Amino acid sequence: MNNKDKLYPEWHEKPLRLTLAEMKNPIEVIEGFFEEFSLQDVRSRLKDLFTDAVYSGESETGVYDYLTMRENLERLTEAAHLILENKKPGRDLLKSSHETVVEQFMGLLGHELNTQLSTVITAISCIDSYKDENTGKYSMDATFHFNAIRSTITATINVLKNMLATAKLSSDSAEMTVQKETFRVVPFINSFELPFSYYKATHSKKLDIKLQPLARGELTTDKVKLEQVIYNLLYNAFKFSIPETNVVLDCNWNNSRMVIKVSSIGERIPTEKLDAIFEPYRQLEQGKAGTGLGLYISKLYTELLGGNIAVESRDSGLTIFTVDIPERL
Amino acid sequence: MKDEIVYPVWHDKPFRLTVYEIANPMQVLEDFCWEYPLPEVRKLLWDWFSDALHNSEANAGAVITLFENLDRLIEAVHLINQRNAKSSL
Repeated sequence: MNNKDKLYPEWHEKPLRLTLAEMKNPIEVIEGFFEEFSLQDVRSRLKDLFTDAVYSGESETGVYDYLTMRENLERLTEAAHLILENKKPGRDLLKSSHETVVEQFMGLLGHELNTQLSTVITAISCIDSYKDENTGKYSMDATFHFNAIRSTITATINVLKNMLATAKLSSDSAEMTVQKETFRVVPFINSFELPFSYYKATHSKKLDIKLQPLARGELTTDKVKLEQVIYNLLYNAFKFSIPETNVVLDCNWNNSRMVIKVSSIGERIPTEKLDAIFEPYRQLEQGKAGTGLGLYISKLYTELLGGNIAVESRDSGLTIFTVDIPERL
Repeated sequence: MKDEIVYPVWHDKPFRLTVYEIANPMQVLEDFCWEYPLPEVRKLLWDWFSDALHNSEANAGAVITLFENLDRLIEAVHLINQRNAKSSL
């Protein structure tokens, strides 16, 4: 046989046995294969096949070639089996890049909605305590919580609008952009007081805002994204701090950069966990934490705003998140 | 009735792979795809299975089932390898 006989048309390089759906998710074919054959089963069948072929009396192929093929097929099935066992990398391969991008975006969107809506639910549960059982009417004190709900829902709508306006999804990447605006720092920072005020009633925790004298100017950046960064840090601080302590939001200025510190007292975060704290889906404690995206989003957006984010956790249990961003993006 | 053959649990572990390959199974897939392009591996498989079927003692049903499944597995592995190569560029 000369080399010309060995030439195949290029479509022979394509799958001929797989359906379109299987081509999209080839890992499912591997799953199906191992549902039918265990590793031991494959070995045993390849051995039988080898014996049958060699002793058929019809074989033109050498024993050595069959031995090599058998060994390589065994190696292949073992490797494929391992890839399936290591579910995560396997699952990543299963997804087309577009699906992964959409999932990433939906993960971020879902997290932001969940955080904001949790605030609304807590505020609504507070309102019930202001209802007069006899008259069925709410006292004037409930107005405060209605305002908190209104403020949070307005913020949620702004987050949604901002995410939809600044996310650019292509077939293989999800890119977030920014919407710049200039705004005054004082009302912006003070606006965080209302949404977190209900913690005072429910957990005896209070937000203590410290606006340093230098931090009273204007900022040009993506206001909604900065709001999300601070909101996520405050939400975590209130969630993981111990009762009857304050969460401090400190805002200062340093060399044309705004420096925001969110401090709270809770359990000390071990050093080995601090390194990975901003990675997606990293939860410090299973069951106690949320989706594991809050700090990831905070880092993602801080960097998008040209800033840095850092964390330190002291033996006393004081944990401080520091964000610094340029005053003009 | 033939007794069911029960193997020890470690028979479900890789026997042909090195420690490094166990940690990096994608590399084994890569090597396989490099060594056996799809058209060639199809022909090799066919020859092998065809030879086996000429043996009067061969279990034809089992041979064909294995052949079809291995063929599909190899195609899936090639696709995964191509995607992995693209994503690591």
